[in-house]
Amino acid sequence: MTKMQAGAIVSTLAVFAALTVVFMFLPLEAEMLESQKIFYFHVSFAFTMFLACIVTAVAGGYYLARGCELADAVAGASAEAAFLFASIVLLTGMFWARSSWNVWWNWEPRLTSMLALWAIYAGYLLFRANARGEARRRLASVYGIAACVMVPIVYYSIKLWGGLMHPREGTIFDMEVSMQVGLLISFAAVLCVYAALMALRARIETAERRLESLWQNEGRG
Amino acid sequence: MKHTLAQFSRLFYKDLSLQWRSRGAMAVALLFSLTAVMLFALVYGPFFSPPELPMEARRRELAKLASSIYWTAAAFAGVVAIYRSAEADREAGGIKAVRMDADGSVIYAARMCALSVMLCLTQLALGLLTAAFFDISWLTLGDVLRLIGVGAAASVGLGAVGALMGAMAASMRGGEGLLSAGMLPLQLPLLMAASKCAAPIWASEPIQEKAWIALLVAYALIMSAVGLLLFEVVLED
Amino acid sequence: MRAAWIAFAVSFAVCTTLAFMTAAPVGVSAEDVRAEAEATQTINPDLPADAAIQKAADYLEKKQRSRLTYLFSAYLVLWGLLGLYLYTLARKQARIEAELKRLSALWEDAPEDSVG
Repeated sequence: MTKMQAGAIVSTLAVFAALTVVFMFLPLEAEMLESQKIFYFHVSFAFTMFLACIVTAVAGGYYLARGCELADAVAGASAEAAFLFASIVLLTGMFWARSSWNVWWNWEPRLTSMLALWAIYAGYLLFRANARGEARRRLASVYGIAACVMVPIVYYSIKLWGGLMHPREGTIFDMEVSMQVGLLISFAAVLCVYAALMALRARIETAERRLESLWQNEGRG
Repeated sequence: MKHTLAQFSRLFYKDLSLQWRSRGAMAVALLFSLTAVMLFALVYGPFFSPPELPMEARRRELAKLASSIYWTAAAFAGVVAIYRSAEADREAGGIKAVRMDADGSVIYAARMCALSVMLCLTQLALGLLTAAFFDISWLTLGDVLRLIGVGAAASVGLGAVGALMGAMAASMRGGEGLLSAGMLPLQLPLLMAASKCAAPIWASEPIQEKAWIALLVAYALIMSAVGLLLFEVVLED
Repeated sequence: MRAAWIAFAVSFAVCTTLAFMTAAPVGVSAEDVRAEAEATQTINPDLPADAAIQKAADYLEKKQRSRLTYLFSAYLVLWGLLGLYLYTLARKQARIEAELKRLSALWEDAPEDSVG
């Protein structure tokens, strides 16, 4: 069994466990009923997205300091995951908002800052897709470090500017224990998905790089 | 230290004169704001806020609108100015041609300051235009100074992001096309904070949400620090 | 890549099955309908009791149905985006493999002395 296959099996099992707990064992929330079950994956993807943003910055910094190509591949893969997860968070959040508050969108600080973060990582991916060679790695690393500034802004946005829809940070510690367990298991599952996607993407990036160098050698030969 | 300061002032003067040569960007930004105001006025018109509203409510409405249009135009002005600066760089033979063996952080500081000065000047012109179009006649000297303060802080932040992204775009083939895609999202938090800070000032009221001021200043400082630390990396071959 | 697709398909199937299996049947309790009807009559006192009850039952049923719709839509979007991402990765990998094949074919065709 290859490492990729093992990763796929582990993340499938983790997602299976999380879905089973969320759908079969957790009680229905009194007010929101079924639609509250969006919460577990919505919040888990949000936390994992924060982690992905931080990993992008740290790996970028490591690349700048040591020139390690794997670190750059990790940064690129992590930024793609951050963008994907931010899209998931925004869209699942819209369905939840519609079912709970009867609106698809409003311009409260958390939503607005989250949209800004999404746009920043879209910019990162555009930059990365259009640069070539060593410049691409350097510039993407600088951009990734600058983009990470958005993480605390999104996280503390409710504390700083107040919000109508989202609770303040740290509210999960006041939730019912069963909900906390559900959230924890979902978070673990999303982390596994993140790790598997990263490994897959980094492998493709490495292959792409090998191909690039082979073409260069071919050109020289 | 003295040598660094001399290098900085030479580079700053050089960048500023390059910026000044491309001051057409300012006119483009003013035209853009004129278009924006006209479109808004057409939809809202003939008055931006109903005259039957109490004076205080009218002021608030006008101030919100003025602030959002002003900062949209300022963002546009920033993009145009940075494009022009990248163009001017290319014509002068790239950033390395103006290096004079200076450290990356010195080049960055000079460029950021030159860009900020130009943005400040553009914003001053935009501010006058905004006050005229929105018939804002109630501002006190204190309000004007507060507006200048917000504008200056935002200009530093916009200049910090712009100088970094401009150099990044210049070191990529066809990077100019990507400049706004990469730069505008990074400037979003600054623009959000600046427009939220400026709105109550345009209404001659105190800023209630101090967190926006904190975001404006902190973001400008953090972006300047990121630029100062990493500019050398951007310039490497 | 195949392992990723299998993992994705299995997870999606599990999610859909569980969501369908565990979704509470659409139906509202008499108690809820009574409470909603009373609330309706407070706002609109001229409404006859029968009509108020009918209106309340319709409203509550529609509301519950829409909750299920939003739940399914949210999870569908989630899997849709993950699937789309996997698809882009699969295409990228296929492109790289094709190029590698092309390159090795080039090397095989090249005369001995020009290789290496």
